Amino acid sequence: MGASKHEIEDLYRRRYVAFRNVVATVAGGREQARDVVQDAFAQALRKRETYRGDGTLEAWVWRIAFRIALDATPRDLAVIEPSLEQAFLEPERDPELVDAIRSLPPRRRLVVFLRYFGDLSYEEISEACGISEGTVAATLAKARADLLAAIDREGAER
Amino acid sequence: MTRQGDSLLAERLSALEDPRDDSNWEDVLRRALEQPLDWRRRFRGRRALLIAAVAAALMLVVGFALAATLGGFSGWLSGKPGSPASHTEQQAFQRANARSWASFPSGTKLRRLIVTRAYGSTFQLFGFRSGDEICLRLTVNGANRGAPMSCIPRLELSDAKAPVVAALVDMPAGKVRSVLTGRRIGRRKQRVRVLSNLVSFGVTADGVSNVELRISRRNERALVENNAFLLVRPNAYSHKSVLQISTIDSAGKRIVVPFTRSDRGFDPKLMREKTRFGPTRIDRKPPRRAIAWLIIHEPRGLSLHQAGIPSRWIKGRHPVRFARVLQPDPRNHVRVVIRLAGKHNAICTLTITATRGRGFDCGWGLPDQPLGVSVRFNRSSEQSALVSGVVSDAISRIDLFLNDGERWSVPLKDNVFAVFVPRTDFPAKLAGYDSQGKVVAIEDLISL
Repeated sequence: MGASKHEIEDLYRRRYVAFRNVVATVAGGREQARDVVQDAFAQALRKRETYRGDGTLEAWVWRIAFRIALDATPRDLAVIEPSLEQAFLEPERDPELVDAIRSLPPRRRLVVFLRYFGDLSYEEISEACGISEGTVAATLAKARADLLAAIDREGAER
Repeated sequence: MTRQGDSLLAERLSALEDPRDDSNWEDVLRRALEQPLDWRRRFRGRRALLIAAVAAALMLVVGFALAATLGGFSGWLSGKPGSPASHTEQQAFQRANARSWASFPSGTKLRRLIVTRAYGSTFQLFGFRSGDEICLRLTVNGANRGAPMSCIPRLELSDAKAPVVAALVDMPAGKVRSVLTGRRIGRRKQRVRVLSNLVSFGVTADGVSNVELRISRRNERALVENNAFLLVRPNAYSHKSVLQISTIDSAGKRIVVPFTRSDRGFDPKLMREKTRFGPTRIDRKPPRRAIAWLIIHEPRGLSLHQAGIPSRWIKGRHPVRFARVLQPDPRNHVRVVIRLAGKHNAICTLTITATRGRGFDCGWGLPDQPLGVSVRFNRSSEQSALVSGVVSDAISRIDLFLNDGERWSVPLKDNVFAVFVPRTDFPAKLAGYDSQGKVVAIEDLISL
């Protein structure tokens, strides 16, 4: 199957910012995230013939990015723990939401980032993280419920 | 969970996102061409190191060997080979560029690559990078009008199978002179006027210092400087063509560079050859669709007047009802004029390039045929052909399958496309896909 250079370049140009923002949560900083994303796309270019086409190209590149970010090839990508301090441009703009996200378990946090920063579909999140689509849906539902409950709570306390 | 809750979360999270775009595709290409040393470091333990070493060895076998021993094309992909052109040379280029109907961006900076004096003339090879193109331009005695020029798609360099890529081979250039043909007209010996030299030039990977061109039985060494090569030789009425282009790597091994000979004539065998790559069957017969924006005269792109293109260029037998000038790929300089003419709204296109003038194609069967394509080059010395065309609204994506197994996603905008393709990669195939990814059109492109 393989992927063409044009497809990878097109993905890069369309989705670079989303990649960098999500990767920033696992790479430890925005600069590191930039480096990881550049390396991930370079590696995708070199290995494009190995892309089998059994999932989306984007999910395949996400997996590469996570592997590079983690400096290893973990069997379970869902063990990634997003770092909140590096995730936002100005966390002080919405402290309630940031606190609510901080209280989420790591897997739920990551799915939230992929869904809202990465704008990935359930299927793509499932492919990128190596978990089932049902698990993605359930995790995301719980995460959203927790976040909205926390926001409502904080709003009511004010 | 309500939809309102979901959109509230999305809205508040998006306010926290960092919108700055510091992307740099050239940097990705450079990293891809580099030896994967840092990649290797990322693996932990001896087993991982072994895997990385095997991967590196495999890359050497499949083509990255060339980048490793002679360097990649990073000089062209991300660097600035040569030195800046003089103010006068830059001004002359800008004036010529401003006159062109398919111009490069106004800030395009010319780099001087090779200067040589031969056969009583001064030959200067310049280069520049613009969008996805790497262009070479040769002036003879400083003349800018009619300067031979050729652009190489950046993809061709990052996919190159050899550390040298030829742009033009055996292109006539230089002063006009009169030569004998060897025939007689009555008592007189026949004479014709030809340009006095033949030039061949192209780009080289980092570290290449030797490029040889075989003419008859001997090899002539080209000048190699600043990631480019240039060979100037005298022209005759019946000249011998370049038969082989090669370079020597650091281990002393000769690497033959793929190129298309300028004397390759019409070969019926080539007409029958098709690439084995790409889809062979149409998944779905597309609905009959025209190009909606064209039919309702939506003013996309520029008018002929705005683009400064004379309307006589697109005149045919039937009155032109509507015409627009489009740039299908913002990362290359090609412009396509699309027009509707006659009571049946026949669609014709005119492609305009800075390197090879213009070409007119008409009579595509839209809406019955969803994909109309034309392949052309003006001179046999050109090493790339322009593949351009028009698609109906039934097609939302087109892919080009080259004979070396590469698959290019062809930029498509306002139903037109135009892409330069190396002639050595033909026969090729264009496949059109609908919005659901189903193949709705296939066009085989024969070798030229």
